Amino acid sequence: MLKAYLGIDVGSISTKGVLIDENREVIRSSYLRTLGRPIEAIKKLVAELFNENKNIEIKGVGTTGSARRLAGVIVGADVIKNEIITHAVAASHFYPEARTIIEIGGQDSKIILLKDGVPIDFAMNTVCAAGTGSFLEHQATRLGIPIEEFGTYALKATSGATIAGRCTVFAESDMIHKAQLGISVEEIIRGLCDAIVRNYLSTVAKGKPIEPLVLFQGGVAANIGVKAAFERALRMQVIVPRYFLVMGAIGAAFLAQDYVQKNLSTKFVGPALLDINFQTKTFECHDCANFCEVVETYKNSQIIDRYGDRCGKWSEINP
Amino acid sequence: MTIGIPRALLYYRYGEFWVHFFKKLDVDIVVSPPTNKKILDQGLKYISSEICLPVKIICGHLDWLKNKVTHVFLPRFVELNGGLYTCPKMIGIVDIARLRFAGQFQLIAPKIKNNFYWAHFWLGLRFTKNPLKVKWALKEASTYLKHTQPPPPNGKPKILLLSHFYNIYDDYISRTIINTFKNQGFTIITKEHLDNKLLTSTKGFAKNIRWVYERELYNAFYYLLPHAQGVCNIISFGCGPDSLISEIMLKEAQARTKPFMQLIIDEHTSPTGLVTRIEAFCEIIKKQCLNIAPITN
Repeated sequence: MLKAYLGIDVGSISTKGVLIDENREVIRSSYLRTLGRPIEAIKKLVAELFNENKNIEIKGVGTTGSARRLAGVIVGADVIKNEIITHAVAASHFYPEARTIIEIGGQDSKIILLKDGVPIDFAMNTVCAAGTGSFLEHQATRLGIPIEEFGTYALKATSGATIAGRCTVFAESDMIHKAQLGISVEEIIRGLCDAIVRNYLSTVAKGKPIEPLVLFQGGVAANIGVKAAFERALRMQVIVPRYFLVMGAIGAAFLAQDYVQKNLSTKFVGPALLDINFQTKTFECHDCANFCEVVETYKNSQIIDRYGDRCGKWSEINP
Repeated sequence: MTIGIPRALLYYRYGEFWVHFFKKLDVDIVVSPPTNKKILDQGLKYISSEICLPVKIICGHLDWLKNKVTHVFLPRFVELNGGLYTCPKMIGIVDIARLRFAGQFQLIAPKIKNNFYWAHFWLGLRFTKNPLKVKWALKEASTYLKHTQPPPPNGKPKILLLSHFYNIYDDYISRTIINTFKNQGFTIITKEHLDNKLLTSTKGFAKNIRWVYERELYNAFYYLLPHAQGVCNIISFGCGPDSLISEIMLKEAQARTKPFMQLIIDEHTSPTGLVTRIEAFCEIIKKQCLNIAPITN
């Protein structure tokens, strides 16, 4: 039996999972769409990992991403950790000399600054998701180009059209107008990549010192056009790690390993997970004027978690 | 005649003073309840979505008061401490109320322009003919104006939470933020821990700041920074004065290698984004400043 640790990262757009061995080598990773149904995505992911690796024993589980709490409750996670820390943990394992992590995912983008492998500062996009993965995908669909090829189009252009990057709505109308002027699709896409980088540097990085080594992680790092645009803007090499898509999940698995080595046992539900019927229900509490939306998670019609109330009276009587 | 006082904006600074002042003058008052979702939702109906959250909230409180009182007390704070101003929305809220709640209640809106005492004195004379009674009521009520808090207990790591009193003391706005910090093992310190002399100090950069509450925030930042392991600055989305002061504080914190985080708040109802940021911020502080192992799980 191979001993392994599982890391699960449930984001807004995609769900990622990795298995690592005792030596922190990635055994397997998978990536699938959340499609707005995180519970099903998590089950599918676990099923995939189990079916293909029958000979493993899961020693510990960590969850991360915006649905980390739900994922943690369902699988029985040992560690539930926010995505900023997990990304930093994974990055400093593969690149101990890294100083800057650029992470652009489906709905949010972040910058994490590291010093001696320890995160020292970070920032996330605040009120706007312009320039993140879901926007790029929308534009690719609109132009009829598969998202995987989007970046290669940008590299074909020698110069880029000027596209407004501050707002997705403005960017789209800019792209349409430029196309109607006769500017080529390649140049428009390159312009869009530049706009995304400009937007990132002015609204997320906001003058934070970007020092080498710079890593580029998250779904958008698959786009070689955006990577090239970052290199042009920063005038330095930008490295896309081998496991750029699943760095958060890897970090969660590392933290699970650390935790289990200290605490010696795991809360992981195991393959039985696949036969359990999980359900979430929400209700609006009308006991005061706050009308909190309380979310309940049921395991085979038995309640296992409850949260979302401001006063704590529902989450305190958590079974 | 019943006077309504909205539990919003300046209430969190002068509320207790006003309540006691009116009570001593035997005036019937009604204070709106603490902010809740219904109050905020009502407030949103009265005002443009571009305005900051605290102004949306006060509109909700005015809405709550509208069928319950004949008058609403809403002083117009313009200038304080000689040449220092409040923000434009604070000055203009009286006009917003007058236009949006026309016919619902009458406004009692004394103008405060470096005349805090006398403005309240003349106000008092509207309810009694006896100036000595007003003088006495003012004296009694003014004991509730002091707001310096005792220093926080030593030992636990501290977060300097910088924001306007109407953000920090409005439980509806700040509860998630404060609880998340506490769950991470931190004690909160605020500008109320600084004594009045330092809070209004004009030393250094503070003398350039002409907004009264922003100067206080800057002084709190400057004098309390050595006592805190990190700074969290809560800004209402769209706040002009704060966006300027925050950048200056951010740069100074960076120069002194103190972790500094800006949290921008608006009408969000899901706390996930806030919690993620605060948790990550706390762990960064634990990792770099305290050299203690972060709490897993």
